[in-house]
Amino acid sequence: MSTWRAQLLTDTPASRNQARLGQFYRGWLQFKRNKLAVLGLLIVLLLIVVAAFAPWIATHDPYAQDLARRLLPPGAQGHWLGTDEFGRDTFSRLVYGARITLMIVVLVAAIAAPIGLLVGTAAGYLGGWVDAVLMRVTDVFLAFPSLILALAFVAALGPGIENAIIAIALTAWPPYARIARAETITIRNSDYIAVARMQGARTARILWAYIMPLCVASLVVRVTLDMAGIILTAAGLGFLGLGAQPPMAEWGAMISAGRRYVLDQWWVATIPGIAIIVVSLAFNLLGDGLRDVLDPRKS
Amino acid sequence: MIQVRNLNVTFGQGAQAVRAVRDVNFSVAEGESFGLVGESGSGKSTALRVLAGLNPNWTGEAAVAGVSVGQRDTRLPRLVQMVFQDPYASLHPRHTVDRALSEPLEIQGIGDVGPRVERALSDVGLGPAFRFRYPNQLSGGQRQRVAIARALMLEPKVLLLDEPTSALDVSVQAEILNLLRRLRRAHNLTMLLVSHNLAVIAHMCDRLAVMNRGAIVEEMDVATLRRQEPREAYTRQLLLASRGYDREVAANIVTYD
Amino acid sequence: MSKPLLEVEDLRVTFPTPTGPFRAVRGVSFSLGRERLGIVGESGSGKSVTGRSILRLLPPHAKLEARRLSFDGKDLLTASSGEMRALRGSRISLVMQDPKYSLNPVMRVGEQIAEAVRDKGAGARRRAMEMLEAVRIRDPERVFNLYPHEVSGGMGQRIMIAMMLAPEPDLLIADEPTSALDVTVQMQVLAILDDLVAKRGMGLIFISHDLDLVASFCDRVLVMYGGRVMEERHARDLRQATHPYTQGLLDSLPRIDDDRAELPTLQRDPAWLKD
Repeated sequence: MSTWRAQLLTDTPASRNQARLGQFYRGWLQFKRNKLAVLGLLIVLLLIVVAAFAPWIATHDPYAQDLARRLLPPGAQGHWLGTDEFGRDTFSRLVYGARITLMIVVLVAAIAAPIGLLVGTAAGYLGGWVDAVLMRVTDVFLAFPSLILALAFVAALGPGIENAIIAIALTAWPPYARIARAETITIRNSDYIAVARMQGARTARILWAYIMPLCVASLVVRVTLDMAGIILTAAGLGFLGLGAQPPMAEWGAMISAGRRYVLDQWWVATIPGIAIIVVSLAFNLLGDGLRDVLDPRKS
Repeated sequence: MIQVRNLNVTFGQGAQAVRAVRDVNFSVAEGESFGLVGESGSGKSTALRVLAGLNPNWTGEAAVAGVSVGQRDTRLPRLVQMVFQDPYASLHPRHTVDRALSEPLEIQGIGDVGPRVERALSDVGLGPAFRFRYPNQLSGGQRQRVAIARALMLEPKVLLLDEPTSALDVSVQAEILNLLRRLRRAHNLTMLLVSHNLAVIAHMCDRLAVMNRGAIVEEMDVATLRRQEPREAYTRQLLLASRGYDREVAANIVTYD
Repeated sequence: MSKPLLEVEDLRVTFPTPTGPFRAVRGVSFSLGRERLGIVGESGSGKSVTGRSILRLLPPHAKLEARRLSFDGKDLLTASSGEMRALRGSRISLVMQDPKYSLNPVMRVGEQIAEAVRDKGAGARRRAMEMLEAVRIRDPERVFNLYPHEVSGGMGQRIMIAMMLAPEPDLLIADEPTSALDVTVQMQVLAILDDLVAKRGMGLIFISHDLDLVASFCDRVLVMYGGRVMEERHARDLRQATHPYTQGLLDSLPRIDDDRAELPTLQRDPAWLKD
């Protein structure tokens, strides 16, 4: 066993960081055993790499139109995946679209998860009227199907990718609040919370340092599994013309534009569709793998 | 050091109200070790939790070192701390031992954290090798030692113990009991120990009170317990039942209300 | 000398784990007649696994091997799952620790007992009532219709016993049947077990971590540690145990009538775990 591996797996870590890294490494070893989850992770990593290095990976300018070369099939004239109705290279648009997809997914998670966590843990720990008020607000948001609510927000705020992100985030947080609240209620009467109270810890500290870390695991799993849905909702909004606006290379908008040609030039709509399927599946597999590792009940 | 008078705790309301603790009175002098014995539903754990400040719904008087446990007084963390029954539930699963022991110091703004943590660990017989482990890397006995070390970080005057060895293996129990006795002497702790096990109480306490259905049945010193000369029939029955299976004893068991 | 009810020879149980195979039971041998045998050990000693192995109630990935495992002359190692099902619950019964987890929460307790009776049909309900009376439940009519969450711990355990004894088994395996109970309730439950076992001439295997209790309730005692039997003795001779593990365990127990300042702690000898 190489020395750094031995260091990470040691029974007697010598510092907090070593202990944390050791736990992380053990988690990784367990995660690795799930081959499908690793596949999911690889695809997600591929997505990140493609998004980061888009300018180098794309073969053409995604916005460059060439009407003489519209609707070319895959492989023709140097266009690996063909061209769309304006003669723009599908492959390059796919690659730049990865950036948009990633941005949507990360921003929605970054907005919705903390809101849900905060609302849920506060409601669960404080109980009483705080719980009642917060949960009724959550219920209001949950009552609407997410796409409809997102539509309503976008209609109110105006179309555009930023507004689409806000709209999706606003519909995504309620389930996280519910999950966080359920976890909080389970653990708020635990002995270690009682100990913290006896030591004089204030509510804020207990929420931040004791309760939230235990909710994070379930939340991470749920968020990852939701990413597929987020991508699809964004694609749906894009499809309806309410998300990314042309000429942005968002995958959903690409499908929408390619609708008209689906019978004869199937690749225009189908290829972005396959990309969405693959990435959604990857997030699902990743989320499943994470759940097996992070389930706090197992540790 | 501990003063409890007319303590009453009622759960629920109206027709479903349950009087878990009924007019309980006892006091514990400084440096003394006092036991609360009883079966389930006797109210012993409820009374303990009141003194820990974990149960706000009580009436009467309950004070530690003259400070009432009612108003979340900021002096209380340095006066009274508790060791819980289940070592598998009393340590935060995501905190290392180091974190668990530093928390009380950080909350109370006490410096010199590193050396204090190391000293606390060695006081309970765990070396520095355990400092950065997570609870799932510790055995039940080791976890309970950490819980004890944690309870002593703020140097409390009073230590409350709720069945500290019930969830442990027999061979580990003796180690923990010895540790508790040693620490009590070293820190001149006042101890209030709750248990259903008369042998543990006899070993650890100077005086004890027997509880049944929320009320104190009898108070006595340990010598009386050892001589097995209790006054009350309930206590006598408890003593007999603790001695292992006996057909005669079993046949004569009566429920006391 | 009648034929022994149960014969176990060189029982070995291994569980595969991510970190290698775990040998929970390493060569346990004993025989049981119509008597009370106590198996004592701490957590991880293999006592519960031994009890369940007799009924072949281990998780599917566990590996069970033995030179001999037979009940009333019938070989349990080669018995089919159909044959084992026929034995379980009717000729060999298992009572477990916490009735909270062993009673079906959505079924009335009386019905659960009736289900366990061998001859189903009209007589089953009457049998169930008889069993409730046999475990000294005072108003069986009322208790029959209760759900498990409506009964106390002691009553729940008595119902478990009623359920397990309804089919009149020849062998009862009780795994920590009274550990979750108050000491006075424990006495009462044990008295019931005592009577039922004596009256029906059943064999009883009593698994527990409580050395004193087992010594006072059983006829013979097996002390287990690390998957092996460290000592086998008549209950009345337990205090004269020769194995250092048993002696160490007995010495380390606090007792009401002794006033030792410090309890001797068990010194584990790694030699006890060697093959």
